[in-house]
Amino acid sequence: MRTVSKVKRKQSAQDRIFDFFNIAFLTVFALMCIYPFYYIFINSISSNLLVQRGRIVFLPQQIHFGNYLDVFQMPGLSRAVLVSVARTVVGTIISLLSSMVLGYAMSRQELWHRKFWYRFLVVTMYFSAGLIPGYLNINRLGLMNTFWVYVLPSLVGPYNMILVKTYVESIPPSLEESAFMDGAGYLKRLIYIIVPLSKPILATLAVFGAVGHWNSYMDTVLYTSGTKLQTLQSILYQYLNSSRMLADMIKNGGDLSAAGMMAQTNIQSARHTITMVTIIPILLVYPFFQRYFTKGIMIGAVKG
Amino acid sequence: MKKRIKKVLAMLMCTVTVLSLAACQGEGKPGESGEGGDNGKDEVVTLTSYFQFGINIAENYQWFENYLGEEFGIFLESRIQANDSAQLDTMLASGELTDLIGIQDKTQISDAVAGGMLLDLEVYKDQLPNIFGNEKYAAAIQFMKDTFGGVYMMPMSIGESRGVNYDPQLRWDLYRDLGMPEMNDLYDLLDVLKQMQEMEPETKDGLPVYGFGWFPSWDGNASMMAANYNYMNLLGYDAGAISSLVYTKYDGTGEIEYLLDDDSIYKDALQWLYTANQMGLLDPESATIDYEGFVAKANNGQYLHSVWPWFNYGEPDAEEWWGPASVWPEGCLLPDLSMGNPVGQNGRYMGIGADCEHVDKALAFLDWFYSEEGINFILNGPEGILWEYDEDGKQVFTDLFYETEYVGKPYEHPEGGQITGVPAIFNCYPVNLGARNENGQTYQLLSDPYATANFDRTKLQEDFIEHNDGYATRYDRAEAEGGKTTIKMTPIFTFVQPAPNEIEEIRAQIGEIVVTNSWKMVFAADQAEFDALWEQTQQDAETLGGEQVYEDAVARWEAAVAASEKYLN
Repeated sequence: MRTVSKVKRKQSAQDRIFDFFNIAFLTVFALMCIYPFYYIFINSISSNLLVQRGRIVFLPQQIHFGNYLDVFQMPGLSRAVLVSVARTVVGTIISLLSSMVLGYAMSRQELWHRKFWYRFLVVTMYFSAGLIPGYLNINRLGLMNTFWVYVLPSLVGPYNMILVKTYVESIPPSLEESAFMDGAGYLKRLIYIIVPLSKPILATLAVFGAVGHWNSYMDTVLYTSGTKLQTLQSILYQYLNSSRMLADMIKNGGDLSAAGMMAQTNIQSARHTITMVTIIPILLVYPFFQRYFTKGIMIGAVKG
Repeated sequence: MKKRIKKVLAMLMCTVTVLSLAACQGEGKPGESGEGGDNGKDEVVTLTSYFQFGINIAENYQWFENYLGEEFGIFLESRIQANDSAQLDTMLASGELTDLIGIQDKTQISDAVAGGMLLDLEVYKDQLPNIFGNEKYAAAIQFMKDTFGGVYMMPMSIGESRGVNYDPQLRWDLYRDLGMPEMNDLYDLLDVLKQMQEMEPETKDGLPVYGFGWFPSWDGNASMMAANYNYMNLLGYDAGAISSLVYTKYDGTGEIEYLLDDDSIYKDALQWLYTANQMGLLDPESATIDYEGFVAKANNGQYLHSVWPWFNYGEPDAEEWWGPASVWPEGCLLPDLSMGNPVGQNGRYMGIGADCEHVDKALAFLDWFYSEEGINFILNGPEGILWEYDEDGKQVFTDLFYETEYVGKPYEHPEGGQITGVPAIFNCYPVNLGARNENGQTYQLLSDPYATANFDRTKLQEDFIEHNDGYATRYDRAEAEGGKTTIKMTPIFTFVQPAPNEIEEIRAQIGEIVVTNSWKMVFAADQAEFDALWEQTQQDAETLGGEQVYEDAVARWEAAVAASEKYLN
């Protein structure tokens, strides 16, 4: 304690001013980050009429949980949750496995034409095939309307591969050599030496992968039909889209009776509620991986 | 360690296996044959569908699914619509459309026809008696043949319509208390709004009250402020249908006028908005809020006037005579939609993909969709639930309707899903909702005077009728008075072809300047600034080639008039 107070007394005026602005800036920044979530939350539990009028800004009013009950009773929701969780879990695990194996292989000098394969993968980071060729490819591969369309296209990520490769290269070679001396092959060395030492980078990739999978919706829109493969994000997307469609209808003119739906349909509250339902599970991933996350990024960056 | 890895691997394998099995199982609906077998309603086959204009809000309408399964032996597997052309472009590029397809872009239809991706419906005319045997659709069929070389798709919103899209509304209680002053033009409207604002400068919650507000988010790629063309519409001019740098009278009888001429109606409308702002009637946030913000403010009671009738304007408390009512200045010429369009109004089309494996079933569905029975079913639900026939053979609402929908509790079908949600799947229908069916009633029962005769009227409505010579709406009155305050919208606008790319580029460049300067003019400090900005806009447009855009628009309009003659006479 004494030491701490000593340090405090030694703070110069400049330090204090810096601290003041630093704390003020970070507080404002934190509020800016938190407020959108808070805003959506209070709007999802406040009176729908007040929400429709944009009256809920700082505090919830006339709190009720009817929107959550309605959303949880939506027929397709449980299936969408299942699909979202499944694609996140399976997609993340498989992409972790492939990134690990590939990154490890790329870190080995003895890999046949290593430079060529490395560039072959990295070039895809700069040149993308585009939407239509991508669609054609998925279609021809017979992946349309299957669960695997969520998992396979993101299986190999060059960015992930580079992170793993850089990380693995930072592990002292002597560790692996000792296993080699004992007669361990590549697979054994990967499983028993490299993987246990690469936990931080794997945790980092797991967070990236899980968030990416959870938030993805365009693959549902483009590559699936019907409700069986709908994800939570695609349901949210439809809610956002439908209010835009209604607004477009009014804008372009047409039947009054149809456009009148805009006034009757209270989509806003449903949108806020589904947004909350969509955000909360993935928010839970961060604290779980956080300790690895910070460490992983630092190590990868500094020693890379 | 070893054991743990094995465990993890085993679990992973299990998950993968379960999921792959689940994915395989999910391929078809229970009871689906999977074989061709088009005959027999007991076999339910999956038809993929994509309606570019549908509002697919992720809800299941199980009762409707069951009905389609039992009646047509089909299960509609819809793709989520993405509200832009990219999704359909990918389908077109892959050469495969869904079995049932709804498109709202003529270029995409042309591409699909060129790629042989659509079925020529005329080949199957015997299976489509409700389309090819219906005189009402004859002009639309001919139009498709002339335009695309065959009936590859069927237009929607065909034939007559009824109503106005713009219907100026005023807060009725204040207007009535003011003694309902007569208004001859839009400037009289401003005077009335000013007096109303003085009567109620704040809402009950202390928010400032304005005459009206607007928002820039609909200006988009147009060459004019959206607010402005809406007020031009109230004066009987269509703006933007040919090119957003020209306008003409709604009935198509006038000349094509250039937007930036000194005597332009656009300038008049800008001047009017400027005056409204000078009088403190225009919401000062108009230039920054979006549509949702605008609706929220209207519903908060902060606006006393709107060009549309569907806002709540604050607490809907009928006992206090509170709410908006349709009040038109006498000098207005509101666009009347009643001429309809014999070749389809909304530029939306429905057809069958050429790769459809169950053509007979898709045809049966399409035929039903275009039949009187099908339209009635989709819009109002099955007979005997929310509506029934009375002794005169007219459709009326049932007691169940009055116990549920009427009191704001949507009716849930025992098989799952709401009946009133189904129309949103398609969001567009073969006819216009306000048109009359064979029974003489409107297709959408909720807007039919006979079916709604028993609806309770609010005090406001009763009061409005009393002061409106017994007419329930201003439109009813305008119709009875021979359309003194309306102007019939001509269907010729549908026949206008898009401008060539090079003209479109010039128009877009000029448009950006016009929109930016228009907002500045509306919020100009004084008349001198307003005039200077107008002159600047004219000069910039001239430099960029405004004249070319005008000439092109005139040529395309003349071509449209010629092309339409065949179908309109």
